[in-house]
Amino acid sequence: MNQIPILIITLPLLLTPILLLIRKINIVYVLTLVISLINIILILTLGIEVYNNGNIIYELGGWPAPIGIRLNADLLSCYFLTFINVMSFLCLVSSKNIIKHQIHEDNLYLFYIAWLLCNIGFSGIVLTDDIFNLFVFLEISSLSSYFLISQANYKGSLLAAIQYLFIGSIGAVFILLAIGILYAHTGTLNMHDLAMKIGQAKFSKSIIFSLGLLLAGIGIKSALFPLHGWLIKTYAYAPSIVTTYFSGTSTKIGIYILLRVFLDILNSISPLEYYKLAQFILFISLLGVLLSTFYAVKQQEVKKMLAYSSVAQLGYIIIAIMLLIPDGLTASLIHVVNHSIIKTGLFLIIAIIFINNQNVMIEDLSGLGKKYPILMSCFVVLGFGLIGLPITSGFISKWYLVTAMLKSEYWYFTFIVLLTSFMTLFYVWALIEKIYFATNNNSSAVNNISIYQIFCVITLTIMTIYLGLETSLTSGIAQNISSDFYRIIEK
Amino acid sequence: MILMIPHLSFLLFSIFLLYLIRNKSSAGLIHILVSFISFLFAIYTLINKNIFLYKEINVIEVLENITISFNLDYLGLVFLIVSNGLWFMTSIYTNRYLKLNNYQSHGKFFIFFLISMMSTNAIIYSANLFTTFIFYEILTIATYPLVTFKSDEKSISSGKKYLYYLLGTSIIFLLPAIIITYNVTGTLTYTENGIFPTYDSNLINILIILFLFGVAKSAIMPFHKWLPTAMVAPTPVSALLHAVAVVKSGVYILIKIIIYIFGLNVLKNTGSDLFILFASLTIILSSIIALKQDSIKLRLAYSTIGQLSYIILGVAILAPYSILASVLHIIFHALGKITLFLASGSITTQTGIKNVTDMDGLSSRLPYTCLLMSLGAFIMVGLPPTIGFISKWYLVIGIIESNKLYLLTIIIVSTILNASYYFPIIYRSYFMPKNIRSKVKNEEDMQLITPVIIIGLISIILFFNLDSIIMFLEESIILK
Repeated sequence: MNQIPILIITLPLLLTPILLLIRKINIVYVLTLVISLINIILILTLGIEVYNNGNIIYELGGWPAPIGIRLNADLLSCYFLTFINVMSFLCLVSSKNIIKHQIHEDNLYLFYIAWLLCNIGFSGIVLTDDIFNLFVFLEISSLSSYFLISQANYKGSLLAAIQYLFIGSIGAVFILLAIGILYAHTGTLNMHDLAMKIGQAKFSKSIIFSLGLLLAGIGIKSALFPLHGWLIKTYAYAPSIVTTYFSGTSTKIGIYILLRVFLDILNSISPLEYYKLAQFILFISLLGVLLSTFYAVKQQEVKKMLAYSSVAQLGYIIIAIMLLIPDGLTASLIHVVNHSIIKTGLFLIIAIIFINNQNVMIEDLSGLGKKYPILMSCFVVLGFGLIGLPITSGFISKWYLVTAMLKSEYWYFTFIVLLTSFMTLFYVWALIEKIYFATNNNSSAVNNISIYQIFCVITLTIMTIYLGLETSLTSGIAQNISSDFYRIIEK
Repeated sequence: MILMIPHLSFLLFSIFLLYLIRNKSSAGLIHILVSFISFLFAIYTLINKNIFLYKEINVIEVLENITISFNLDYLGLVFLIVSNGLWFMTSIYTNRYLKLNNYQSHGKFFIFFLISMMSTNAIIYSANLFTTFIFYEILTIATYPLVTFKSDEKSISSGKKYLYYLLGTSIIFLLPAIIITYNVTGTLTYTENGIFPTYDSNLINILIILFLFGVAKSAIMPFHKWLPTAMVAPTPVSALLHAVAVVKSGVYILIKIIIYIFGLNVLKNTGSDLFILFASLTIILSSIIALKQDSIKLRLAYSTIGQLSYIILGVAILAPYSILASVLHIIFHALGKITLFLASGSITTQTGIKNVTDMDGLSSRLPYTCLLMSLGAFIMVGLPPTIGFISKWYLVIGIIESNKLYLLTIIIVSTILNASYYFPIIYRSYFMPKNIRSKVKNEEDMQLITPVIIIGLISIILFFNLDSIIMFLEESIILK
C-alpha cells in the first residue's frame, strides 16, 4: 500500500522509453490507455486508503524526510490526482482520430509520450512533499506541454507554443528564485519542514520578495488575471484534444500549487491575511471575472470563448480561496472538479465534431442540433452546468461560492459574482440558439464520430448531473480537506 | 403510501413515452390521456386528503441538511386541482388547435408541455425552498422551446428575452435570497409559522425585495416584461402556461414564502408594506398599459399581470379574509383567463383576427366564442353573477377588516380600468357592424371550442356552489 504513490509516477515513466522504441502508433496508443487505466485504479485505491486511514508517506530511497525526497499522499493530493487522471484518460480515449487529422504522422507516437510525461508531471506535483521536486515536476509537465501545443499543423501553433514557452519559463524562473530564497532562509526544501521553520525564521523583506515571486509564478501557471494572456492563445492554437486536456487539468495544477504553498506551507506566517494580500487578489480576480466574461460574450470563436470562460471560472475559484474561510476553500475545491468536468466536456464536443477546423466560429454550430442530437443535448446540459443551473454540478459550486461570500459579508462582490454568472447565460445561449434554430448547411462538421468519443462525452455529462444531485464525493471530501486546513491554521 | 412520488414518476415516465412516439400522430391522444390520468391523481388526492396531506417525503439529500423533498398542504391541493384540471381541458383544445393551425413537430410541443406541467406539479408538491428553486428553473427552461416554437426570428428573440428575464432574476435575486435565508435560519423547509424566529426588520425587508424580484414568474413590476413577450407562443401555451401554470407557480411560491418562510406573525410585526406597495403599483400600471394594447393576447397578458398582483396583495394584507380571497382568486382567475385565452385562440384560428379593433360584429359569426369571451371578461372585471365578483368581495372585506382603507381606492380604480379595457371587446363583437376584412368561414369549429365551453360552465356552476369551496378552504391551515 505504501508503494502506490511512487508507482503512480514511475509506472508511466518507465513505459515512456519503451514506447520510444516501439514507435508503432496503434501499440503506443493502446499501451498509453492501459497505463492510464492502471493509474486510475491505483489512484482510486490510494484515495480510499487515504480517506479511511490518513496520509500515506513514501520516502524515496529510504532517506528520511528533511534530507531525502518524500512523497506525501494526503486527501488534497488524492482529490486532485483523481480528477486529473480521469480527465486525461477520457481525453486519451477520444484522441485517436482527432490527432490523426491535426498532427504529422511521424510525430504521433511522440505525442503520446509527451502526453504521458505531462501527466506524470501533474501527478508528481500533486504527490511530492518537496518543494524543489515540485518545481522539477512542474518543468517536466511544462516542457512536454510546449511540445504538445506546438504539434498542431495550424498556422500560429508554433508561435503560440513559443509564447507559452517564454511566459511559462518566466513563471518557472520566478518560482525557482522564490524556492532558492526560501531555502537560503530555512535550509530546507521539505514542505512540512519548511512550514515549521518559516514560522520560526526571522521575517525579512527577502521572504516577502520570495512570496511575491511565488505568487507571480503561480499566477502565470494558473492563468490568474491579468496573467491569463497565454491561456487564450494556447487554447486556440493547440491541437483541439490538447486544449480539452489542458482545460480540465493544467490550470487546476496552478490552483493546487497555490493552495499548497500559501495555505499549507505559509500558514504559519499567513501573509495572505497579514498583508491584505488576499483582499487584493480577490479584488483583481473579481475584475478578471468581470472582464473575461465580457470578452467571452463578445467572442465569435468558440474555443476562445470557452477559454475566456475558463479564465472567469478560475477567477471564481481564486475568489473563493481568497475569502480565507473554510467555506471558501470548500467552494473552490468543489468548483475545481466541477469546472474541470464541465469544461472538458464542452471542449471535447467541439474537438470531436470539428476535427479539421482550427477556428470554430459560432456560425459553424448552425443546425447541429438535428445532426448530432445526443452530442448536442450533452452540450446543452454541460452549458447549463457552466451557467450553474440546478441539478447540474455548476449549481452546487455556485451555491457554495455564494454561501461563502455572503458569510464573509462581501455583499457587493456577491452581486458582481451573481451578475457574471448570469452573463454566462449570454454566451452559452448564443451557442445553443445557433445549434437549435439556425439552419445553415454545415460542411466542416464531420460524420465519423466513434462510439468511444460519444461514450466519453456522455460520461462527462452524467458526471455533471450526478455531482449536481449527489454531492458527497465533491463537497463531502472538500469539507474534510478544508476543515483540516483551517484546523492546522488555527493552531 | 403517498401519491406525490407516483404522480411525478408517472409524468416522468410519460415524457419518455412521448419521446419514443414523438413522430406519430397518436402523440396528441397520449398527451390527453396523460393529462387526464394526472387529473385523476389530483382528484384522488382531494378525496383522500386526510391521508395524503402534510406528509413530508425526502427524495435525496443534495447538500448538508438540504434535501429535495415533497409535501402537500391545502393551498397546494387547490392549485394542484386547478392546474391539472385545466391541463386536461387544454390538452383536448391543443390537439385540435395544432391541427387547424398546421403546426409541425407536435411531438416536441407535447414533450415540453409535459415537462412544464411536471415541473409545475413538482413546485406544488415541494416541501422546501430548495426544491422549489430547482423546479422553478426547470420550468423556465422547459417553457423556452414552447415560447420559441414557431422558430421564426421574432419568437427566437422573444424567447431570449423571456429566458434572460426569468433566469436572470432567479440567479441574481432569488438564489441569494434563498442562501441568506438558509444562512440566517439554518433551514429552508416550509414551516407552519415561518422559519424566522427572531426578526430584524432590515433583513426582512431586504429579503422581501429579493424574493419579490426573484420570483419574476409572478410578474411583479418592474420584472414583468417577459410575460407579454411570451405571447408569441401558440395559444395553448399562453393559455395554460402563461395564464395558469407558470404565473400561478410564481404567485404560489410568493404566498408560500409569505406564509411559511417569513410567517404571518413576523410580517405583522415588521410590516408587509413592500409587498403591498409593489402589488398595488403593478395593479394600476398594468391596467393602464393594457388599455393601450390593441392585440387581444397582449391585452390579456397585461390583465394577467394586474390580476396576479391582486392575489399577492390579498396575501400581503395578512387578514384571513384577504388570504381567502387570494386563494379563491387563484382558482377564479385561472378559469376566467384560460377561457379568455382559449377563446381568443379560437378567434385567431378561425378568422385570423388578432386585434381588438378588428373584432367588430364577430358575435354573429362565432356566437359561442364571443359568449365565452364575455364571460371571461365579466370574471376579470369582477361582476356578478360571475365568480370574479366573489374574490373581489372577500378582498374588500379583508381590506376593511385590516383597516387599510386606502387600498379600496386601488381596487376601485383598477376595476374601472379593467372594465374600460374589457368592455370594448364585448361591445365591438356584439354591437358593431360586421368587419369585412376578416377571413370568411361559416361554421364555428365546435371541436375546438367544446373544452372551453366546459370550462365556462364550470365557472358558472362554481358561482352557485361557493359554500362548499369556502367551507373546504376554511378548514385549511391558512385561515386559522
